Amino acid sequence: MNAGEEARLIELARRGDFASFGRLVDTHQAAVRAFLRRVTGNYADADDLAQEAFARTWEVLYRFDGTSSLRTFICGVAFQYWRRARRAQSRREVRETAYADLTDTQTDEPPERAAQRLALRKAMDELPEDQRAALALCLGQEFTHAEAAEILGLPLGTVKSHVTRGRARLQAALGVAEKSDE
Amino acid sequence: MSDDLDLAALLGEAPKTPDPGFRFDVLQLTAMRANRRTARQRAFRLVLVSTLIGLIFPLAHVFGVGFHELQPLLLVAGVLGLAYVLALLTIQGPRAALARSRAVLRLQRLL
Repeated sequence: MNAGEEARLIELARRGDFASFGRLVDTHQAAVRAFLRRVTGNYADADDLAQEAFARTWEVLYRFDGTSSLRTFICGVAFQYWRRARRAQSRREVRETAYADLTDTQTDEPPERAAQRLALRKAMDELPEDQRAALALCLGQEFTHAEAAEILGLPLGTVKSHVTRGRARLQAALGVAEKSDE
Repeated sequence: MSDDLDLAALLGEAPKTPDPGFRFDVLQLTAMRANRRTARQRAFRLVLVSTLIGLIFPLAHVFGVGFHELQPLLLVAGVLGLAYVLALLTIQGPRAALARSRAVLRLQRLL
């Protein structure tokens, strides 16, 4: 979807047009859901949060001034929702359900890959909130560092350093760093 | 496995195509929240108006104004209130005279 068409849909959605908002949801759902899936590690929770974020976006669409992309704006809302939800949930509960989530969502994958995902998830869960979110945004190359900085409300340099350090931690969890040292 | 895209895929994959079910859920949730907000605003307005009406007599009493002096004012307020309710019913009511016209206009705009 080009920028002009998106601006037109945003304007219609602001006036209460549900169909236009539905098209915006279709356009941006992949990026928002991918971000939340990576950051939460649980597809069902991620999709619930994404729905909440889109519904909230509808309510605050009048605040969108067009200086950033709508995708960035929605991900900013999603990030706030995730942070709030995370604080409400105890860390112990997250750890207890982590393995069950992995086995529930990917039953057909080889055991080796499942183990890698589990190790990655564990490493990801141990990262600070901002670092985790920066990695979830930038690793899949869906967002630039500048966009991630805008979504997270952090300086660009901090985001870059979060991504570099976080990537190293994840690679270490997979044993990649040790191999490259040999 | 050091590739960023592989890491991202292991952490969670993006949906391949837009999911209509997801869009439906979002729109349903959005409509539900909008309805809830409207109901809350309506309830607040109702409580506010009732309180203000209820305050008229005690306030008038405090300022030494009796029922007879207030009667013309109350009559005007009553007529205005009735006119407002009738207008609201005509425009938005369940069997509104104007509701059909509005629906036709909306349909024409869509076509």
